[in-house]
Amino acid sequence: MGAMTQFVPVWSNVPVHSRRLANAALALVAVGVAGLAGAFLAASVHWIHGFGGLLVLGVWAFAYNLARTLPPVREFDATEAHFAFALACFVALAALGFVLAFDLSTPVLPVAGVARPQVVGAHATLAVFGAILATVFGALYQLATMFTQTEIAGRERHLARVEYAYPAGVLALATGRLFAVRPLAAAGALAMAAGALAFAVLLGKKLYEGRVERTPMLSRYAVVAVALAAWSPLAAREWVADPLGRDALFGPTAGGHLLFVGVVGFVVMGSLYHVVPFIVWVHRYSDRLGFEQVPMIDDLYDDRLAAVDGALLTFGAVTLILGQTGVAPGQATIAGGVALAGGFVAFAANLVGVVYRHGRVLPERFHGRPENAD
Amino acid sequence: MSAVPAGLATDQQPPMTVPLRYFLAGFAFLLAGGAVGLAHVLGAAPGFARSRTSTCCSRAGSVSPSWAR
Repeated sequence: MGAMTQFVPVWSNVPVHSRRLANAALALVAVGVAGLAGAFLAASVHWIHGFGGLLVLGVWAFAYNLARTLPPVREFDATEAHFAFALACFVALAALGFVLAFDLSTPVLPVAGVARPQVVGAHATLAVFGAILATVFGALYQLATMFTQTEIAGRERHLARVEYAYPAGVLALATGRLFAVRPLAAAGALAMAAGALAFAVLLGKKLYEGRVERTPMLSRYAVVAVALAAWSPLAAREWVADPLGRDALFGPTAGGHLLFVGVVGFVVMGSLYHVVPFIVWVHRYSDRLGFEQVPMIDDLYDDRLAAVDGALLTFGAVTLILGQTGVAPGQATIAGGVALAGGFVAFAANLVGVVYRHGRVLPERFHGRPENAD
Repeated sequence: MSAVPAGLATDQQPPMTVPLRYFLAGFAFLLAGGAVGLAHVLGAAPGFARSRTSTCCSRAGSVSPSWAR
C-alpha cells in the first residue's frame, strides 16, 4: 500500500488525490490490523467484527484515494492498468474478508449458498494473485524498461497482449473458486499461468537486451524472470488437475517458495537495492551535484556484500525447493533455509549500512533540519 | 547511464513522508507477525493462532454479540 501510494503519483505524474485520506487510510488499516490480530489471539469474535470493519474501511479509503489519483481509464498504460486491477482486487478481497469474519459468529454463508472454503479460496486468490502479483507486474513494466533503457516494441507488444490474460485469468479463477465452478476456475488458472509466463519471457528479454551496467537490482530481476517462468507451467499443471483444491491454492505445494521467495521476495529486494540508496542519495547528495565530488547512487552500497547476499539467497532458495520436492535429500531443505536466512541478514546489513554511512541519521536528529519534508 | 537520475526537479519531490509512514507501520507488523509466528512454533500462541484441534472455534460460535444478529 505504501509503495503504491508512492509509485502511482510518480509514474502518472500527478499529486496524490488526498494526503489526508492517505493518512486516514493508514491509521484505519494500522488500527484494524493490530486489533484484528489481537482479536484473533484473544479468540474474541466481537472484536473481530469491530476491527475488521475498520480494516475494510481503511482498505477501501486507500483504494478510492488511489483510484482518484490514477488518470482516466482510456489513458491507461500497462502499469496503470495493472494498478487499477490490483485496486479493484483490494476492494473485493476486503469485502470477502469481512464476510468471512462475520460468518464466524453469524453463519451468513449458508444463506448465500457458498461453503466457507470457497470464500477462503476466492479471498486468497484475489489477495496473492490480484493485489500483490498484479502490483508487482505493473511496477516491473516500468522498472524493467526504465533501468535497462529499453522499451516494449514490435513483436513484444504481442507478448504484452498475452500478458493481459493474467488479470482476466485471476478474475475467472477467483470467481470459479468462489462458486465452485470447476471449468471456469481451470480456464482462469490456465489463462493466468499463460499470462505469467508471457510476462516472464518479456522481463527476461528486456534484461537480456539491456546494454547497461549490471546492478544488484537487475540481477535480482533476472532471478524473478527465471522463477516466474519455472512457476507458471508447474502451477498450470497442478491447477488443471485440481483448481479448487485447498492444497493447490497458490499452485504446486513445493512451488510456494518459488512464488513467494523467487518472485515476490526477489522483486522486493531488487527494488529496495535501488530505492533505499536513491532516497538517501537525493537527501544527501543531490543538492551538491556540480559543486563537489559526490558518489553515484550505486556507490553507496557494498558491491561485494550485494554479490554475497544475492548468491546466498539464490542458492538457498534453489536448495530449499529441491529439498522440498524430493529431488535433493532432506538435509538440503535445512541447508537451504540456513543459506536463505544468512542472505536476508547480509541484505539487511548492506542496506542498513547505506543509511548509516550516508544517511546522516544521527546529525539530523540533533539538528532537526526540515530537509526531509516533501 | 541509468545510475544518474535525469531531470531532477527539486521543487517537485516524489511523495515520501506518507509512504514512509506506511513502510514503518509495515515494519512494525512484520516484527509483530514474527513474534506471533515464534510463539506458534513454541506452542504458546493463544486464541485462533492455536491449532484448530482446540475447542476455541465451536465456543466462539456461541458468543456472537447481540448487535451481530
